Amino acid sequence: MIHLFSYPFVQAALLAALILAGIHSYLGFHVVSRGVIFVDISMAQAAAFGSALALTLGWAQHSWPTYLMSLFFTLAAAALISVSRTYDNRVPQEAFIGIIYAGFATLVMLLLAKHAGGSEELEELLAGSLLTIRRDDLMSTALLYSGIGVFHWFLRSRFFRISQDRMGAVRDGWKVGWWDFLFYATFGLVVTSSVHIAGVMLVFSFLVIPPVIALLFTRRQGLRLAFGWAVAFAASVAGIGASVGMDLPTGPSIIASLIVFLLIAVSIRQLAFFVRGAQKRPKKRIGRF
Amino acid sequence: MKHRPVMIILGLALLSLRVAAAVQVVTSTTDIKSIAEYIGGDRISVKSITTGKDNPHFVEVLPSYMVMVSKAALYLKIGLGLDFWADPIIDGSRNGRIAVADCSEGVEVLEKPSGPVDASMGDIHPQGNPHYWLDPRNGLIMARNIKKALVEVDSGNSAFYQANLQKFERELETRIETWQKAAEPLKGLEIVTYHNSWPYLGRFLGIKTVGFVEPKPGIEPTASHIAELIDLMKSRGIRVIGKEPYFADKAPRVIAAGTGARIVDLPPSVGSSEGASDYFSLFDTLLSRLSSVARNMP
Repeated sequence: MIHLFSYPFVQAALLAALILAGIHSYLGFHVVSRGVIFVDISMAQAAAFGSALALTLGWAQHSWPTYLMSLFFTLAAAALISVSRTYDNRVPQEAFIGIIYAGFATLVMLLLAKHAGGSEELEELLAGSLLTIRRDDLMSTALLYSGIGVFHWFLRSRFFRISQDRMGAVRDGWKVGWWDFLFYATFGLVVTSSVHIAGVMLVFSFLVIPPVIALLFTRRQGLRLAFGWAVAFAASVAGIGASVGMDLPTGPSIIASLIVFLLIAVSIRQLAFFVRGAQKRPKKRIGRF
Repeated sequence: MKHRPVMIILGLALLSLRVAAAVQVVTSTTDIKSIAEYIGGDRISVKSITTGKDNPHFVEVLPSYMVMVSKAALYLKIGLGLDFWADPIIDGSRNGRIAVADCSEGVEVLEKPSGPVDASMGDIHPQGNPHYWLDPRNGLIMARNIKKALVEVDSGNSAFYQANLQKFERELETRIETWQKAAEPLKGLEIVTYHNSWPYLGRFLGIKTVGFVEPKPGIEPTASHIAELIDLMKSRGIRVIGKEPYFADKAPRVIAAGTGARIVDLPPSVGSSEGASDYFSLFDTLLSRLSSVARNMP
């Protein structure tokens, strides 16, 4: 098994997966805490739509126009989502987010129907192509995500406060709308470039699954982050190992391994409940979702 | 018999030496693999990324392809934009020692588009129609290209490759004559095919493809296009629909029902259907299927 990791292409895929895991499981904490789980898949799908549009207009998959087109639609989706928040609260915001997702997914299908090899492009937008990631993409992604990471580090107290105690932040007179814009703008940058290398499904899984697993076990912020990263890294290694060992597509293998980790985590959590429940009844606290 | 384990280990060691000594070659398609095996003999070990059973226009990259290319000394491409997916595999494998050769070099390309090409025209290859291996006379050019590439990565065996090339050329030339003779009754036959894979074979056999089940290359058939095709086939009395095995037969069946034409599976590559097990038997199979359907034409 270990010898498989001596191939440069496996190392590159692993490096890419680790970079993705790093930024996404961090951003995922905000997404999960804010309870806007489907925001990311909608934005990722909007990015995929921008990319599909650029392809039908004749631009190459890895080019600046494609990236900018993709970014434009990601931010447009973010704007739509933030507008939908101010709506009448009889309609849950999640409904609008779902509609935005379905809308962009449908637009991609319509666009690619007249495009030769459309179904293959569609599959690549969903499943990504980590195995053939180019050195340039790896470098620029690493640089971009480090930059965004540093930005979030400096503003961490703001972002975490809003994610965890939005009402409190509003009461204290923070301009929450402005901070939301900054959050979603950086989030959009990350999602856009991730979708191009990893596909919609892997981006969503990296965002949501590690934070959920961590939330099952701890509520301490620092510990949760560390736990999420550990899970995301371990699942990346296991997923890529399985992909190469069993000759399966890489993106779906990593997703499957994240889900296996989640199943194990849930089982352990349930087991712990039973064991502790027999001694004394703890207060109900599974997490905040 | 007490030395048996030792013998086995020695045998295995020898075997592994033998395997290690063979030049590792990866090809995009089975057709190139078949010709390369003929020329490289036991001095090379060839693997093809596509199997002939799947559409070579699009390939989902699996780790095993990357492993193959990582270990290879030579990659043989079909070229003309057909196997554009090979480039990310070759680059992604980060194999600095690999030589890449394009088997289409020197081939007379058919259907070169005169104006600019865009996605609205379907999967049109800007360099022209890439199914050139389906004219066996191009097989001669491919064989020379393959031999040249093999000599470049393994000059020690150049005499061996040269001798095999000559043998291959003689064999193929003889067969080309036989095939052309056998194709006499097919001259002037008009057929419809699923994808535009057959201009080279058509030129070789004197068969004309007058329509395609796909409205544009790589685009799924639409209702209006099927209706037009049925009218065209009725007006010209076309009774044969050739289909590459990897396409669904739903649309061809509708057309066959509307025209009384017969569907014939035409293997576009070695391994695409039973009988087409190497480059020679590929043409044997194509010819026998076309002849039998033409003989029994309703």
